[in-house]
Amino acid sequence: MKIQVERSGGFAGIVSSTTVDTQSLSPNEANEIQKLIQNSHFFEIPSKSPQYSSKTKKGAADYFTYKITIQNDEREHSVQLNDINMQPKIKPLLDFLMKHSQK
Amino acid sequence: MFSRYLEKIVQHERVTEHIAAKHNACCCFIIPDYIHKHIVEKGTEEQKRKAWQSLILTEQLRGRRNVAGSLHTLFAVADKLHRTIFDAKNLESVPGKLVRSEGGKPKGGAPVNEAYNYSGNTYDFYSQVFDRNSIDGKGMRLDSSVHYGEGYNNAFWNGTQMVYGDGDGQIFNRFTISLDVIGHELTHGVTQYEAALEYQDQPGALNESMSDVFGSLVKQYALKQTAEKADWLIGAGLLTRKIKGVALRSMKAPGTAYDDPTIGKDSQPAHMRDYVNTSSDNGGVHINSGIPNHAFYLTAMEIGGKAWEKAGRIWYITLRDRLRESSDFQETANLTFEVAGSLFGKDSKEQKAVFTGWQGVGLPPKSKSK
Repeated sequence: MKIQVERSGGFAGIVSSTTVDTQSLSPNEANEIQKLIQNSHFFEIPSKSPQYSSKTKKGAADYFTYKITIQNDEREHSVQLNDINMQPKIKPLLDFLMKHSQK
Repeated sequence: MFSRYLEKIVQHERVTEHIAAKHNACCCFIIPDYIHKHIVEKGTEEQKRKAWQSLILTEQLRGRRNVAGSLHTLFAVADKLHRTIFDAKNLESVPGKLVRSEGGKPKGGAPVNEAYNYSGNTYDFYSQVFDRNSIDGKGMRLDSSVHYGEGYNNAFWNGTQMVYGDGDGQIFNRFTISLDVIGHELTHGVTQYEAALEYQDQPGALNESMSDVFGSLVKQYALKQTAEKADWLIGAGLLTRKIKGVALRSMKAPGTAYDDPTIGKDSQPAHMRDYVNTSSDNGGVHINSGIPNHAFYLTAMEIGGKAWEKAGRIWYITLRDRLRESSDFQETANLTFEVAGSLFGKDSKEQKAVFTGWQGVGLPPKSKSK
């Protein structure tokens, strides 16, 4: 399974992107990420639902925008969200991915 | 009409107090928040006080924490400078714990005091140069949260307040370090209350550019610098010494602020022919802002002297009175040209300078002859 996260926006406007291949993770990390994906109900989140879309509080600016894409044997799915409309159930997955990208 | 609402609120207060005292349980509320909000904004002092109390009580009964903070953030309460700084305690949640209020002594370290002092500089700039009373023009309280997240590499405006991260110390220093960053964030608030430029594509890049323009002018005003003396940089001091770069953006020479193996190269265009089409960053709002940024720089240099006095005034009046949610670059070029004509006269030096500025980025103003 491949997981890609692209972060764009922010005051600096610097785009960064990272891809995690679960095959290259340790068994522990692979397990953890599986659990995080399950808990977030990732594949049930519509890419474009108003709750998760890039449309956010009127007037807000300079927030980070994240696009998470997960690709496995059966399917590929993307979800977009940002610092302002962040959903608690997906945050642990995002935190894991962002931490991983700094390694 | 208005006094009827007030009556209702007083009555409502009694009812809620009674219910709260008797049942200590949750209950329904009949006065919509927007009416409270209207009164807090437009009412007399007494009406404001009542509506205020009612709002706080309502919020408390709904079980919300940080009631005073979030309500103060939402509604105008003062007719002069009023700053409040909160500590988010490294959580990604705002506002956080109150650490410094207006008139309070410096405490809590550099981010708290920089957020306090620099939002004061920004307020003074808008007040003294454009006779504008705070973000909304009605004395809105300036709220900032510092220490947001852990090593968080960003600052943002969330629609009601400013939020600053500490930076990771590797790429970024703390985001309160530059006066122009704070001026930039507060200007997002001004834009929200005026043109309300949509945060997408060209209107979004204009929204960003307005924040850079006035962020830079706040700094130039505080330093009493002329256009010739100013550095025209956005975020000077924000990058650590480990990064090769002087700032995040340059209005004088877009695309030259940094060039580093870790963060890449500044990719701002300085001309319309280099406009970047992308889906990232809401359509490249922080990238394409280089074009209107440079148009402002060229205009200010053409006029000469203190940039806030003439070029700044033309841009401010355009932002306040002429631009709309969907305005694009060309429309902004045309409107600043018109505004320069009405402020300083048709074919004046200032109006010609605006033409030269936009022409320099490939967007010569087209004037509608009336």
